[in-house]
Amino acid sequence: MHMDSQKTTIVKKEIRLFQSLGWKRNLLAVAAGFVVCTALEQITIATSGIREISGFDLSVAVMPLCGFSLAGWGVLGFILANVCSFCRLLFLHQAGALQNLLLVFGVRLAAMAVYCILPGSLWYRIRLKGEDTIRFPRMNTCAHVLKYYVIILVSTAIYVAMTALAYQSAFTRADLLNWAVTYTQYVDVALILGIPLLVLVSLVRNKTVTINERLVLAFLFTGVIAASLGGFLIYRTAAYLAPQIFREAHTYAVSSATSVTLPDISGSAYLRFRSMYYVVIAILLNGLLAIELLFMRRIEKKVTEPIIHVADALEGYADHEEDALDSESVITKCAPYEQGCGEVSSLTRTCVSMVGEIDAYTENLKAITAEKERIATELNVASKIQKDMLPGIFPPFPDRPEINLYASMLPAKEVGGDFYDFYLLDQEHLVLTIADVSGKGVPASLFMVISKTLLNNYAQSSRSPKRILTYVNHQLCVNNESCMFCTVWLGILNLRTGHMVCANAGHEYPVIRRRGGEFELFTDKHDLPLGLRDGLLYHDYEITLAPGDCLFQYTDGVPEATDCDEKLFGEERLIETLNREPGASPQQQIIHVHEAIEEFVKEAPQFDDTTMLCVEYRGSDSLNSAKYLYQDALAVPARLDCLERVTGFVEKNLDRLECPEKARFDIELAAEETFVNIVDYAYDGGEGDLTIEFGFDEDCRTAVLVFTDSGIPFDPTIQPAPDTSLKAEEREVRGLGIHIVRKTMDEVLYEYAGGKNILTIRKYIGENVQQ
Amino acid sequence: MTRMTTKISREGASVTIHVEGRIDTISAPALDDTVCEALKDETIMDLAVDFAAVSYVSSAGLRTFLAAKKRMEERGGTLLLKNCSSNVKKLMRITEADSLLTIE
Repeated sequence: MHMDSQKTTIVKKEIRLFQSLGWKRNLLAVAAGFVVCTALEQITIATSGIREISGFDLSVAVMPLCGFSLAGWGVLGFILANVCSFCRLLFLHQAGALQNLLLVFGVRLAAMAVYCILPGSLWYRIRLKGEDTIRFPRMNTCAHVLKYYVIILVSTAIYVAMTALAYQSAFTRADLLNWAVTYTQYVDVALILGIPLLVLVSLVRNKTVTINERLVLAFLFTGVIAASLGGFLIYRTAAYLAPQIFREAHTYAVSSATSVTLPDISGSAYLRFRSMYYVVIAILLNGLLAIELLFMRRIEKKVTEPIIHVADALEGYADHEEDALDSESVITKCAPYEQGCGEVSSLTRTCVSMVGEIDAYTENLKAITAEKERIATELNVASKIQKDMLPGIFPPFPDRPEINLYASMLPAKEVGGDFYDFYLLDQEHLVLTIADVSGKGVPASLFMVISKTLLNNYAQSSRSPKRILTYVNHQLCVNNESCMFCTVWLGILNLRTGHMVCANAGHEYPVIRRRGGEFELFTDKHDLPLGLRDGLLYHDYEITLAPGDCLFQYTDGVPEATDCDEKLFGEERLIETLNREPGASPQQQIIHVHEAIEEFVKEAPQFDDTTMLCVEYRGSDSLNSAKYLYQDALAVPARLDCLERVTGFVEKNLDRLECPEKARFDIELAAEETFVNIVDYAYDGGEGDLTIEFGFDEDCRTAVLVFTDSGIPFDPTIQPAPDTSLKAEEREVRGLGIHIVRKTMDEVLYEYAGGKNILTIRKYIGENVQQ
Repeated sequence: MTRMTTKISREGASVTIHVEGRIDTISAPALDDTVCEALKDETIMDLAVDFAAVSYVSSAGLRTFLAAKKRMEERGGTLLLKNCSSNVKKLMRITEADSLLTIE
């Protein structure tokens, strides 16, 4: 598309240049025309041997060419030159009958004007089949050459006819022959001079010459040679055979040069010779041109046109804006040219088969890409599933202030083989696990799932790290054809006491920081990783964590993180990073280590999964884990008619403690209000149970009641106090009971755990109390 | 076993309800009925509740008395809670019912 616009611009420039010049250029054109015409005239006169009676004039012969290029203004120059020469001639001879001469001259002038303008305008008006814009004459196709030839024939015929009629009104046969010969002379010059000139212009303009142009030139050149040879032979033969013809010729030449009228030469032998001479030349030249045209036409049909059509078809193929390549249309368009065993058909066949192959290749590529995308999507889903398997909500046990726990796993590929795990076995025991499966990618992740599940399941029943590892190792070895294994560190921490039993199956040393101290490697005893050898017995060891101690575990992806120079991050750097801020929270520590690794490896790709687990033990100083002695418990349905049982239960326990009256009243009141509250609202009108536990905290001589129900979560501690300025019935009905509880009890503690509301109320009951 | 018993005594336009036992969520409705019974006579202008034998009151009982107070006000009468123990008084204070009820 771009090319076309360029061509259009060039064409427009051409036409603009030659048809609408500024006045200076017009003047220049006029002057040029004048000069050229005069020059040609002089050449004609100087070589007067060639100048013929019938007025063949070189300056006239080149007029069509001027018509193509200088149009309009150049023509004017030519006409002016002719006028001048005529005037000169007139002065020279001072002949009579000026009127007659003027008429003749006038017609001649008109004929010349026609001869100048007609070819040019015909060229630009006649549109060939399939041509969008008419360009400057260029002999690059058969059609163009033929067009030029026909225009020359027609224009010359008109000129010659007009000139003949100017000179003579009656024509003898000899006259007609004479004028016919003149006609052929003009046509020949238009061919011999015109075509090369046009090719030259084309060369200058386009910097290149097409095959046809070369061919035309070649044929013309051959024609000129042939004609010259032929002419020379004829001349020589004539000179030898009939020398008197040439004596005649000389006489005629002299007389015609100096007169404005034509001498009578009818019947002359010279004339006959001359006619024959020129006819032979004309036949040779035109004949060869005709042969060239036929030749060229054949090439065009067989080669050029097929190539252009195939090129068009392929251009459309590659240029297609839609995704689908339109090979169908290419194959259809190229089909007519595939037949045959010539070079063009061979090329066409190759192109068509290439198009077919590209199609097949593209289809294949699409299929492969789709497959790859499908696999990538599935891996993403697998990665997500695996990620969801690891407990990822932090803090995991918000109701257990004894520990602050954080963990993270960054996989190397889409799915990884590392994992961590933590869960409560019961109210007091927390299991911590960290593991690393050999290898990476999908196989490691599958093995990871199995290992994690086995460890979790068996921990529930066994509760002893060494037995857990022994059993899981056996299970992993039983069906392990692929010889995969995993390193595991597992610890069971007693949240109340800080006592931890751990086992290490080939995993890294844990890093421990004692309260107020720094992180240090704890070099525990290692057993072999799980899955390597069946029947192994594992060992465990004990650590006690004091409140404020912190344990950090990790997989080898951390110390083995590599930078671009293949240097390892290392354990020392890890401990250094942890100790930058030893008192930081577990989450902070893990973030610090991630940042340090990133800083260290820079652009190097992540080679292995990076997993970390950090837990800080805060101890069981909190109120919830005070040393209670739960003396009694009662389970009742949440129904109002059970109030008596509740009251009886509370009274019984208070009796046992010999609780003073004041505290007693308060406790009973609070118990009733709490119970009624649960009855009214916990199960939203449905049925449910609740449990009341009665305890006595010896340390602070405090009676403790714990109400547990599995109803709608409701935290009485965050309810606003009822607006007691309101009238009685306007007060929020529920709020009053809770208000009483909060006001009468020393402490009201609420937690929601395990799907249950747990409300603990405590009241100091004074001294002198016996158990 | 009934944890609460009531006795109504009447002197002209004043009625006294003697309550004995615990006024809790279960027994409060019964007390409510008693109050209704006592106030059936429209001429009653003064209602008194004797807390001398009351060992325990909870918020349910409180609501009963607040409702009774409202009814007395409607007829332009008075409600008096007398002989309240310190525990009961404390309850009234906590709930700020003592600003609404007349307590002795």
